[in-house]
Amino acid sequence: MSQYNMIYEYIESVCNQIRWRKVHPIISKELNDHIIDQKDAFITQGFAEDIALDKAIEEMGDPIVVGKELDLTHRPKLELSIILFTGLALLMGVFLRFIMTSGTPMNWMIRENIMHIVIGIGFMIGVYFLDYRFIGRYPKLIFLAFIVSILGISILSSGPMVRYGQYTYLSYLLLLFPTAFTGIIYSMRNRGYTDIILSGLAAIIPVLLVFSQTPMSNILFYLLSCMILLTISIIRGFFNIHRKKGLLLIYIPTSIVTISMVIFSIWNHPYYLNRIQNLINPALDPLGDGYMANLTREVISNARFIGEGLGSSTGATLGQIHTDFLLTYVIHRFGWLFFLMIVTILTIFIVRIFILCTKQKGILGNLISTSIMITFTIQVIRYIAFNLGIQVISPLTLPFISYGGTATVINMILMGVLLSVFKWGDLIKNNLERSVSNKTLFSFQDGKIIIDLKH
Amino acid sequence: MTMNKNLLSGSTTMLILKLLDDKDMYGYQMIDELSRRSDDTFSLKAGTLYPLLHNLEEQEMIESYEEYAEGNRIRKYYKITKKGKKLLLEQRNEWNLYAEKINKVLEGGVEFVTI
Repeated sequence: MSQYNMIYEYIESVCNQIRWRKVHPIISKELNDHIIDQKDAFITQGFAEDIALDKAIEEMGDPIVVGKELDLTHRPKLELSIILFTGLALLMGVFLRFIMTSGTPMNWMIRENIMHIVIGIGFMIGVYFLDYRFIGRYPKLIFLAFIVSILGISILSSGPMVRYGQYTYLSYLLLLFPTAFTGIIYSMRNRGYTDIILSGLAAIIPVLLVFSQTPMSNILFYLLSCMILLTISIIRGFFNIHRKKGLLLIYIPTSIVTISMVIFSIWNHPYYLNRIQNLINPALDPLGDGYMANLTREVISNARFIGEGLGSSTGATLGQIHTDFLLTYVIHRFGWLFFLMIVTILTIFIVRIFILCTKQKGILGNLISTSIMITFTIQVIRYIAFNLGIQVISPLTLPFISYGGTATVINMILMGVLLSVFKWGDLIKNNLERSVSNKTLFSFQDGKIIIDLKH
Repeated sequence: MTMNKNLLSGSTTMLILKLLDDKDMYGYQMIDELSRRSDDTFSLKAGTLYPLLHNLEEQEMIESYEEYAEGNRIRKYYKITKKGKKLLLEQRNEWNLYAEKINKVLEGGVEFVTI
């Protein structure tokens, strides 16, 4: 039997005992390295090569026993807190809607809600089993697919009648983009300054497409997420460049563009400044810009700590309670205590998962899980602020709790990806062989610029 | 001389942690180093080592990373964590107490000075 076959056979018998097939390559490589080291050591001691190999394999121990031991250690991990939280939040949403719609003709809402949850569970399970490393393997393809779907939605729903549909779909689709963007960062890591700029430019493409089709706040928060992800990548050294220079490289152009855009729009529309002032302090214009914020604050001021508050109901005052003012409703209808409970649950979940994110050693897992939590946290903060009467920016959704089909399904997809990342625990490290790549998109040779599109 | 397996198995974790406390190592290096430091008394099988290492990593006592070793080969190195250092200290104290008491019994209660 050839040497290669003997090693292969030993490793094969070890792996046969390990039920989780995805860890086989990682374990095979380590055992293979070890056998070769041991064999080389025996050769140095003066044994002939074939005897050295026999002895090296014998030194390894019984493959069945080894495999069984390894099988006990390597089990796919299920991060239960994600499932528990998602379940609890969904139930809370259904419960609130049940109370809100009982005795009204609105109970179709519960039916719809449950249908969204079932679809969401399907997606969540599907994404969980689809290995998250997919995003690192085909980053450009995924990014392109998303861009095509933006275009598709825009074209299909360009008639004036369906404008509302397009508006919601695009806003929620944008929630998946920071995660898709991590794939782009991942594919450009270790490749220096030009690729930071290219990553930044890639982040801007979707903005150009959805501009004027979705509220500005959605775009700003998407860009903010991308900035945070780029910053983390530079600080943690994923780009393999000087950190300060890298940060300056993204922050200087971004600041210049932002500041000049702000100056430009205020120059052209001086009332913008006034409007922002009114939004920050709604009392300045209680019947105009500050109207909704003022009403919201009034509803809340009538709330008690426990139990239903005074004054007219949230629904009667604000409308849109199922989608935009669910927490204002909760504060007024059940009291501050119930609201604080919801906020506490959300905070515990966010903190716990962020801690788990920082523990992810693999670059891809780290970036993907962080991107999902950034997206999640921004939604929560926006919604809570809006519902407390701080209405400078519009809300999107309170994940799983407020009403919305697309919102629920998209957020469940994100939770599925998160589960898939945590399934691996610490197992996936950064493979040196693959990560050390000297090829860049642009390289200079003999006075020629070479553009390498394959990488 | 190769020692009785039972005597070794309980303390293997401690020995591995001690090796990694001195410097980061890859699997084969640990077996080699252990056998050298114990004058060939402890010969650890790879089949025992790797499940142990993977288990310790799972418990966050050690972490692994890949790096170029001599000969330009990529190797998986292991590194002790803070948590691992704490465990090592605990196990050492336990071991010292245990050894002291065993010796005390063997010496028939006579006070003696450990080397």
